[in-house]
Amino acid sequence: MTTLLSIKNLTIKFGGLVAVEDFSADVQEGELLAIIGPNGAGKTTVFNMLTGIYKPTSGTIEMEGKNLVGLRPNQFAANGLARTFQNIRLFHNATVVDNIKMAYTLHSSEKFFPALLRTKSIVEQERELDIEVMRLLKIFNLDQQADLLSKNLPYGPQRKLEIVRAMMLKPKILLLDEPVAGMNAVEIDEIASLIRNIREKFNMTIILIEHHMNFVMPLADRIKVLDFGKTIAEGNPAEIQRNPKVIEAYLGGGYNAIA
Amino acid sequence: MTTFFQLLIYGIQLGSVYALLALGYTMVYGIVGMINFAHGDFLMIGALSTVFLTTAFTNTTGTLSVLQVIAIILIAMIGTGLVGVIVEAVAYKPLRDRPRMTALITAVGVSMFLQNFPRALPFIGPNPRPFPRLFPLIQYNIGGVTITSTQLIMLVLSLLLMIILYYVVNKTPLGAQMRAVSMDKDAALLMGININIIISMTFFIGAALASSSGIFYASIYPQVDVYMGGWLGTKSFIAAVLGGIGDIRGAMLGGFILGISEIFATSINSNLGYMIGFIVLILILLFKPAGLLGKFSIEKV
Amino acid sequence: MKIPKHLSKGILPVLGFAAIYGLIMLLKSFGIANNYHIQILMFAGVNIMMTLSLNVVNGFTGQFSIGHAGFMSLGAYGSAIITTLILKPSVIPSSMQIPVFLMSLFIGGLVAALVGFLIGLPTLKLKGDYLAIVTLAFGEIVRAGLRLVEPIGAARGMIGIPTYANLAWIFAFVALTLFVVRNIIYSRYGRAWIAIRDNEIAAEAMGIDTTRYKIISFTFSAFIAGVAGGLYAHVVSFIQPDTFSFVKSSDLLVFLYAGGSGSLTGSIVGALLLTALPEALRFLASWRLVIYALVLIIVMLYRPKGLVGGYELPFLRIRRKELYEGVTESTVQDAEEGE
Repeated sequence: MTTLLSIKNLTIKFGGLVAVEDFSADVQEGELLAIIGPNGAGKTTVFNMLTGIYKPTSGTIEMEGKNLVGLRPNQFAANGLARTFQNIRLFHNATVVDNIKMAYTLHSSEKFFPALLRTKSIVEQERELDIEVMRLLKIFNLDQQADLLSKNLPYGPQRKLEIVRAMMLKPKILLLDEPVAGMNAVEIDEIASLIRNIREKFNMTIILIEHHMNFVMPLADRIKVLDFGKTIAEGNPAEIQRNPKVIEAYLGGGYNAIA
Repeated sequence: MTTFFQLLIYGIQLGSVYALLALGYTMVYGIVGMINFAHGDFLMIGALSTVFLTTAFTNTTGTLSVLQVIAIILIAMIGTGLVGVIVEAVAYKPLRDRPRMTALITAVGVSMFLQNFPRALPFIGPNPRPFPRLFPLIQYNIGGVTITSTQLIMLVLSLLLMIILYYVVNKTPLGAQMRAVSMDKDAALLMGININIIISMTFFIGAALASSSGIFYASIYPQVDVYMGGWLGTKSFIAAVLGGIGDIRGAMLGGFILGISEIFATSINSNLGYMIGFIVLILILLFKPAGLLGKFSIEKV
Repeated sequence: MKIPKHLSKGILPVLGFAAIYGLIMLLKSFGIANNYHIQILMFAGVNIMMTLSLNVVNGFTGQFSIGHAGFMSLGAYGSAIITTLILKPSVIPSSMQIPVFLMSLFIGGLVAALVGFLIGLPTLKLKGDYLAIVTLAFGEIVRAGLRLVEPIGAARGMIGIPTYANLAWIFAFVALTLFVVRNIIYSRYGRAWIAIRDNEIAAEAMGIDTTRYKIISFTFSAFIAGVAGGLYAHVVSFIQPDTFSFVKSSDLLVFLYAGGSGSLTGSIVGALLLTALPEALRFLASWRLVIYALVLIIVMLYRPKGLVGGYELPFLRIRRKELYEGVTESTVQDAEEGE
């Protein structure tokens, strides 16, 4: 197994507060790594560092030998790291199709002056893009809603759309931040299948943040547990479920650490 | 050297005008979240109504006593404050949940209305009017530098108003509520704060301060017309921004910085004086992007 | 008879424009429309171009530029310098007048675009209100700066600009502007701009270099404004720095938002209506601006999305299905398979 992403000792401080301390991981190609922990443990902060939205105070993030720390978020995306957000961040006034098309900006070869004149080449590129987007939507069963404004989608499909949009970036690693937050059991199952499909079909490497243990445990190959910014446990699902430190961290939080 | 201090005095005088006007801008921005482009016109309303009030008072008694001057200023301030409350209730309140630009464009319309409605009225019209002398004019000469009693009184009154405002905002329950609304409107609502009253009070205070600013400005440059507020409003907005918009001390600081640099720059070259405000602004924003005392609000990711 | 789509997009609007122009000329020959009306229309045309320019930055990219008159000013002076001071009518053969005119417009646009680019670089990193203030300051600095330059007339202004611009040219340029702006909106650039407007953080996360696209938006917008300014100069024959003040910038903001930002049709309606309205209300004398102000306030209170409310005239929008016109099933399948 090859290491796709090598995260070494990521630490970030906001003023005097150490939000994340010494986070490290060697993400293997094709694996699903889950990051769990109580609210405020720093999980999303880790994601923000892994996608360039925050700059770590120290530590490195190496993708294929290249240290990405200090680059802007769009460069992180260009290097193969795509994400979804805890609070849905769709382009709400745009249609489903356009949301996906926007993720293609990076790869598009449309040039400015031809676009001004809408040359034949531009129309062709637009058409090919449209075809590819519809193909992608069809795979994920969103093609019927293609021309709906994304803000008019129900909650579940909105979350799904965010994932599909991230897929359009043709990423090497997909980072999903609480993809099933606020969903009912049926929807959670759907997303679980979706994730399995993505892994199978695209051999996608996934890093996942989630609170629903019933969702995480069957899917994850490896789990890292964060509490107050520190990694308190690491291992496969079975090990984590038995780990006393993990159970203690969740005590009183209403989370059943034994799935 | 005496020129330096002389210019400094003029600069502080002008600066206090800008500061009082900037305060209203910054308060409305901080508490309501909108840039009220019509704010400068409250200055004009204050100055213009003072002209008419003075005429009314002198018609009855001939000359003005100190008490009458105080009464005129208070009536002008309260009257303008009420105009501010009405403007907010009619034109801005319905747009509170709308995108920012909508309220801004409405403010442009309000400004246009406030300028042109009085202008259309036959007893006001577009022509400039002289502003009455409200304060005694006694010149004092200190080491070659001339200070007038008008300047001293204005300065004292302006500082008094600023101190009162600072006290109200920071030491009274009303002020606490205002600060709460500026930090988080929804949380304030949940805490039982009556948002509507707080916002109305903000506009009242802002407009009243603007009118006092107009009275002081017209005491320096004793000509008033319906369009005098526009350009001054823009300048005080710049003062508020370079001090850090949303921050009261920033508005005061910005106002004085703007006034002083404008006077000094104009003494070198009138065009420089015209541009100095923008130059200072850009310089400050380059080093402190949120203004001297400002802070950016963090967007949660 | 159903009109094939490629015709309705290409030929019909052009014919439509030509027809409207012809109608106006007809009215003029009958004495119903006079030079005054024509001039109002020319101003409206220039304002439509300016509003479209502002729409690109404020409406589609979601930025906060409130000093756009500065770009208009640079374009006006830039082109006027060429046609009035350098390649004056007295030194060029009359056959060269039109090429010189067109070239001067292009140069005016370039000057504005260059300045827009230079300003955009450091300032587009600023957030919302601060960007607004800087653009406002920019507009005023241009104005103050031009007041100092003697060779172009300083504060007194420049007179004697040859009136090369007539209604036909204005129509042509408005049509051209609508054409290119529509095209760019329905391309990856327009989509990137809209993404930045709707959710800048998500746009960055989805690989969009937001700074780059904001600068492109600003520069492109400045170019259009510069050309519009050049046209304006050649209509009125006399320009001075104070024409292009914050008052003008705020007029443009009103046209944009009253018409409907994010909608090209809105820019046409807003600019046309609000240029014509003060003129139509002239009979009200000093009450004219009061009524205008009230109309504006009422529109914003009751139609906050703008008069047009996001609607787009058919030839100003490009639907997805038009991408597939004239394309056979096999072409689509080939594209799908050629992965």
